[in-house]
Order: sequence, then C-alpha cells, then structure tokens
Amino acid sequence: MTIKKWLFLIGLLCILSSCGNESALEPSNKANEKLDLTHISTKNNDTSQHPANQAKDALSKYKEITEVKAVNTTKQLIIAVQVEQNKRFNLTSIRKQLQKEMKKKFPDHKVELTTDKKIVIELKKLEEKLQSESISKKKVEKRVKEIIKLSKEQT
Amino acid sequence: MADKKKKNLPPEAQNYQAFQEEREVKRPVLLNCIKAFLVGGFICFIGQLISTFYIYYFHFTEQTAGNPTTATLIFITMLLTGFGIYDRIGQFAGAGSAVPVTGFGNAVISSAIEYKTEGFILGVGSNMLKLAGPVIVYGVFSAFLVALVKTLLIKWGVI
Repeated sequence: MTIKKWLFLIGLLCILSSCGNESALEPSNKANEKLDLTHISTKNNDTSQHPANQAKDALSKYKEITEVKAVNTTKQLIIAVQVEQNKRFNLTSIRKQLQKEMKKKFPDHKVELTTDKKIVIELKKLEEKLQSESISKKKVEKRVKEIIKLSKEQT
Repeated sequence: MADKKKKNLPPEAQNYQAFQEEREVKRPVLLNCIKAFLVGGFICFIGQLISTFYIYYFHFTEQTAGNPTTATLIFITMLLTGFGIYDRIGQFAGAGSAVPVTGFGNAVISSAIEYKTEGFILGVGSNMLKLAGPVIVYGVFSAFLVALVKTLLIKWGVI
C-alpha cells in the first residue's frame, strides 16, 4: 500500500512539474490562418490604427493565439490576446514574453498587453466603432484610458 | 500505530477484530472519488458559467469576476441548504460538495439554521461560524505557510 502511495505521489509530481517546465511560445514562420485579423482602416488620420495593425501581424505568427484585438491612440497601444486552452497553464509566462516583445517593437507607445477576456470584448466593441468611423479621436482616447484602467483592476 | 495498539489487547478481542474486518462492508473508495470528482466538477462548471456571465454582461474582468461569482454561489447554496436539497447532494458526493466554496456556505448556513432555537445572539450569532471557523483559521495559516515558502524560493532565486 505504501509503495502504491509513493508511486501515486511521484506520478502526480511528474504531471505537475511537466506543466510548469514547458517553455513559452515559439514563433513559427507561417502566419496563423485561423486568426481573425481585421485590419482597421480609418480615413481620418487622427485615429490611424497603423501600429495596432502591425501588432496584430506580429502576433499572428504564434499559432497558439486564438484571438487578438488591438487599438492604439497616439501615445498608447492596448493589445488583448486569447491563448489556446491547454496553453493557459503557462499564461503568466506567455503574457510576460509577449508584453516584452511588443514593448520592444513599439518604443514610441505605452504598450499594454493583457490576456483578459473582458478586455477582448471591450476592444472588439471599440474596433467596430472605429471601423464605422462613428467615434472621435477624443472619445477613442478616453475609452482606451478606461479600458487600460479596467485591465489593471485588482481584487 | 494500529498494530501496536492491537498487541496490548486480549486475544479474544484480537480474534474478534480479525473476524469483524473480514465481514465488514468495504468502502467503495474509487466510486466515491468518481462521484466527488463529477459533482465537484459540475459545481465548478456552474461557477465558470456565472463568472463568464459577469464578464460579458457586467463591468468585471477575469480578475475581478471572482468575488461576485463566489457570492452568487454561496447565495444559491443558502437557498439549497434551506430547502434541504444540499444535504442530499452532500450525502451523494461527499467531498465533491464540501471542497468548493459551496461547502463553506453550507457549513455556515446549516449551523445558523440548527441553532436558531437558542436565540439570535447566543444561538445563531455564536454558533454560526462553529464549523466554518476552523476553515478560516487553517486556510489563513496554510496560505501563510505557502507564501513563506514562495518568498524564500524567490529570495534564493529558484523561481
């Protein structure tokens, strides 16, 4: 009985430790085709979403990312990603890795990267508004500020 | 330890114990585990649904949706305990219904109901956390220990 118990414990430890040691995401050469990469094109130059579109392209080389939404103002860039379910064990390290990469890629912007579902939903709504040109620059800035504040909220 | 105790018993008692052990109905440990796993998992599934509901329809993020979800689950448990349904779930699932936060809610509410006859101050008030008190004490204590280990590991640069 005790041997069985020990074997069980060792097996459990193996399973748990194998979850932790896996390295974070590896970029692949091909772009992820399943990903919905709607590039937002605005005629108005004030609300240009060029950096956000660039960020989406850069993130599309990770095949573990299932959804990516991004919006930028002149100073800030907020990106929200969704990661494949079984990769969520390493969510923290994935977030850190992507955050670092994006910060390096956009030194002119204050970059925020989050994996929160709520932020994905909020950014989706904002992207739709930007696409239909029904929102002014000031309002976008205000909204982005609100979303960043929401993403930093702690319990 | 059990063997040591047995040696001090008179031979008749030892015989009886052997006789009794042979005939005792064995606990269905594996079946109990499966039941607990399924019911506990189902409770967590409901919790996930509530959490997703709060994320979609209210101003909560994945981080902050935990608090209202817990409150809602405890509220549902309160109703189920009051109507006597949670007792049956507990009898069927065992630890599966005791380990999630609903078990904690059940422990508080059932003792509140039980001691109502002794009055609201000395009955309900003083006995409500009789069973839930240890949960809080040892919860905080084990959280302290884990935090201590983590702090040390980070200090030593292991993680």
